[in-house]
Amino acid sequence: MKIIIAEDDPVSSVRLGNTLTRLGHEVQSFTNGMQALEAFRASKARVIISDWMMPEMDGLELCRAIRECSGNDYVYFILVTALRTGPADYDRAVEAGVDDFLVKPLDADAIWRRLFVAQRILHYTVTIRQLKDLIPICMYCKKIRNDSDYWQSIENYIREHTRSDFSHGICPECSERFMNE
Amino acid sequence: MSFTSRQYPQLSSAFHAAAYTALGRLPPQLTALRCTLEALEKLERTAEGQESERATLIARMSETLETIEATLAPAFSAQRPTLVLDPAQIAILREEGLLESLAALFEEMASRTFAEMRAAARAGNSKALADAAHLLKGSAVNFGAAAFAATCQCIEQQVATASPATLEALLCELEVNQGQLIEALHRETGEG
Repeated sequence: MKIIIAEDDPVSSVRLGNTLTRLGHEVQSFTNGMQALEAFRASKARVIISDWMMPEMDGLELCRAIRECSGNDYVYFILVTALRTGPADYDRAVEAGVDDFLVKPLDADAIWRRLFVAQRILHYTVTIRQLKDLIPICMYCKKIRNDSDYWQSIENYIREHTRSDFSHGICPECSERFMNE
Repeated sequence: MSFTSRQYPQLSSAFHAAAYTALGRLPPQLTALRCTLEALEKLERTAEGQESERATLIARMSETLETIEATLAPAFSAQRPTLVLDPAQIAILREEGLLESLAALFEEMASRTFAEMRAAARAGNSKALADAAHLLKGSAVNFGAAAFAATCQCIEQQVATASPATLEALLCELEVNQGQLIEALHRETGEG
């Protein structure tokens, strides 16, 4: 996987980068959230591992910014915390959009487990998106089955999902066919 | 443990460092000792001729220290991390082939950051001091440097409320911890 690291401590950054590379991931490391965000915009990595306290932009600010700009592609965000992080801090982090946590000192097995879960979640998000993109349509009457399992006309379905409205007219082919009847 | 007023000048900054650090980790009801120490320091800065007051303060301090020693010291020493390096963490780093490079990286970063902390303390920049302490703490835990990390944590937590003298004492202790840690890393990497 393509993984972005945001960590201002060079020792932890090198150690984490080394572990991820050994696990077969492609890693880009940055020393603050702002740099990591710019890199994310350019590379669209699917996993971010970020320290909490950093200069310029901290881990929570980075997470919020990534949630705002990631669009349909879900990004798995892991926050690296210190040993004495309290429950209130964890609450703030999950509210900001953090998916999982790693505690310093970083342990290779713990990293592997988190990334295993990350891969599974990211796989599910792709599947869900693909399912959402598939629209079940009746092959005869062309009605569409909506999320409530109700078959509705294509006009109503599009109106509900796109807020578009229809102006009714007649195309040349139908005009010829129906006017002549 | 007791002191006389004549011995007072021999109470070096190292003693102050140790005392303040200990006080930072003791229960709040013992802040009386901190107040006594601070009063003593204040007195030291004022004009001479207040020997009796100084002697009273020193006596009070000695008494409180004895109480701490007798009743709280065992529990305190059990709580206080003394580990310079964690052999388990060192073994992992060695196995990963990272020990030498990370030790060198830490040594360079720690001495630079410590100089920045000194400058921040002089400038009264609490935030910069706390941030630097946090950075060092996160870095040191990679080596299982519990004593060093605990002092960093102490600085990080107390920086907003501590007096300049307390901060100075904590920085002194950190410098000592840092020296021990780097020496231990040198031994592990065969540079010592």
